Amino acid sequence: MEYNLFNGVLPINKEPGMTSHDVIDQLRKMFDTKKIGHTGTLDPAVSGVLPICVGTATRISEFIMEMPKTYIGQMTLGKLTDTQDFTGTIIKEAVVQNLRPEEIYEVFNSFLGEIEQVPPMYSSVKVDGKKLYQLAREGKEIERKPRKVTIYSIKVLSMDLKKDFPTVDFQVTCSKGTYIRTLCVDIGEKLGYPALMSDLVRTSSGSFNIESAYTLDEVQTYLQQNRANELFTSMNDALPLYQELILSDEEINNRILNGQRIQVEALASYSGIIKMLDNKKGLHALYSTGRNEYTAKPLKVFK
Amino acid sequence: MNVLHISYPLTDNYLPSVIAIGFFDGIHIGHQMVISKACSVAAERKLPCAVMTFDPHPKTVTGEIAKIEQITPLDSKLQQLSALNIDICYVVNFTKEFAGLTPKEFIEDFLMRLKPAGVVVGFDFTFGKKGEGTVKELLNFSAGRFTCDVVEPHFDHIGKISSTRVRDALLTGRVDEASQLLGRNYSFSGKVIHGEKRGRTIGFPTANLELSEDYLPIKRGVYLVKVTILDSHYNGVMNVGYKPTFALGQTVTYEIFLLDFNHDIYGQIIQVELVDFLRDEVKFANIQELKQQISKDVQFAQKRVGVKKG
Repeated sequence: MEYNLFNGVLPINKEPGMTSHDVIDQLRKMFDTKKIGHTGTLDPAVSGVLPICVGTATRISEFIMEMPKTYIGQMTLGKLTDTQDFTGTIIKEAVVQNLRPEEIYEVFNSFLGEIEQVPPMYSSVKVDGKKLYQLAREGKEIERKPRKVTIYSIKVLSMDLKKDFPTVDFQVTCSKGTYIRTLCVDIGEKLGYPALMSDLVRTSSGSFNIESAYTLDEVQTYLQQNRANELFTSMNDALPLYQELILSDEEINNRILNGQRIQVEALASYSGIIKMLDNKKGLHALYSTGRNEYTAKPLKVFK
Repeated sequence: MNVLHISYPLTDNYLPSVIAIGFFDGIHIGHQMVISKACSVAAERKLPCAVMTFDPHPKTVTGEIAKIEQITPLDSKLQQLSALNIDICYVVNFTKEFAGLTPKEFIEDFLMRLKPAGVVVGFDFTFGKKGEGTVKELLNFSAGRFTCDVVEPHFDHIGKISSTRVRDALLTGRVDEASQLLGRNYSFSGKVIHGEKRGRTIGFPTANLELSEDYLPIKRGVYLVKVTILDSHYNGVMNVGYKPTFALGQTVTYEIFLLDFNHDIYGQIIQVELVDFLRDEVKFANIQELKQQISKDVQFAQKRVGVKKG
């Protein structure tokens, strides 16, 4: 089994102009390992927090992906492109008139809570084995099923309605799978105008904030200075929402690593995922338990 | 746990007990040490274990401070204490009259009436008017009458564990540190009220809370929380902030979005535990400002680490 020097979550601050996979490719070279995975991609034109799982932490990327994300973005009204952002070809234009600030606030606020979105054609959503953007590049468009996502918080920061193509800057916190591009288009539609996403920065992904994320240049420097370990967040810290249970080394070796069920009377009213930790807060497994259940069963064991 | 609200002068008869005395705001792990010492002394003597605390905060009554926002206002405090295997909690009504007792009067005319077989206090305990009585006086007064244990402060790798540190951590969004100092996730309770109408007629996307007590104002921003509603737990995202879109009014709102939950809980009292602080309240007026700040932050960080951009 490949031994990894670095195991943990590395919060990258992706710069615009590269795909999320470019970031992973570069990190694979820098850390000389293939065990690197993302926790939710960012479009090439978008910058911001991209938490990357390295080594054994790749096994929790699916859980990190579940956490809420926060963005600050900009919507432009009056034009719509095929990609729903500024990188594509304009397919619709309109003159924007008589828009009042109150309408903007009202429509933005109406998107709070659970909403449905139709994934854009330019996305990596797979239909019948093919990614939608592959079909889009071939000039095709197919019907896509709407998906439910949740907007936990949405705030208008500022707007400039005097321009020919007015802009609205906003902040939004949302569940995984939310397309901010599509949110902009749908908000525009509700206002009665074509719209697109003209700018976006992901300011947080779960508890990883942009202030403590590193650019690839910074990662390179830390590596050169032999301080790369400072960049990583432990697997336990990367999953703050789950209940912690600290066990003795004996219990971990004899029971957890063998995937045995364990008693959790103290957590009878807890329903969800439990982190099985040693007394140094090292994560060894994720277990799940239901409400009024006295045992927890293994979900994923990290050997 | 039996809660007895008492007031000076005491007129009733009380049964002997071992009493831990203090204001205990937060019931942090330092407080827990004092209280568990009282419980172990009580167990040795086969006596009930008691805690004596005060309400309202002594300093507000003496006029030293106008208003104190507590980490654990009274109800919260009683709830935390009842989880600690204490038999009796004496809540002393801190009146001006009581505040005027000399240290000697506090002991002779008040404490002795509660029949303390033993007393346990923290190293910084003071009593009597203007806090003139210190643990030294307490030890003197106790001689031959009741045992007196003074518990030394507890330290972590940063420093002494204190309510001030807990308060500071909560005011600055350091949820992890607060949790470690308290030995539990910080929690508060509130009633679900209707917030501003958001144009939604179906479902209850967010629960707006009216806090049950005068809790200290935690840092504004976005938190991951665990909510307890009728003994069931749910995860959620909480927004603490001023009313989101307009700058009118300065009331802080507590808005919680529960994941995997869609019932009407209007009017219900819920308990909220802080799990993590995700983000500050937005301080950027637009995305340009944000990008400029990020680029400044990155440049600063790079200078510190020694990257030269070509």
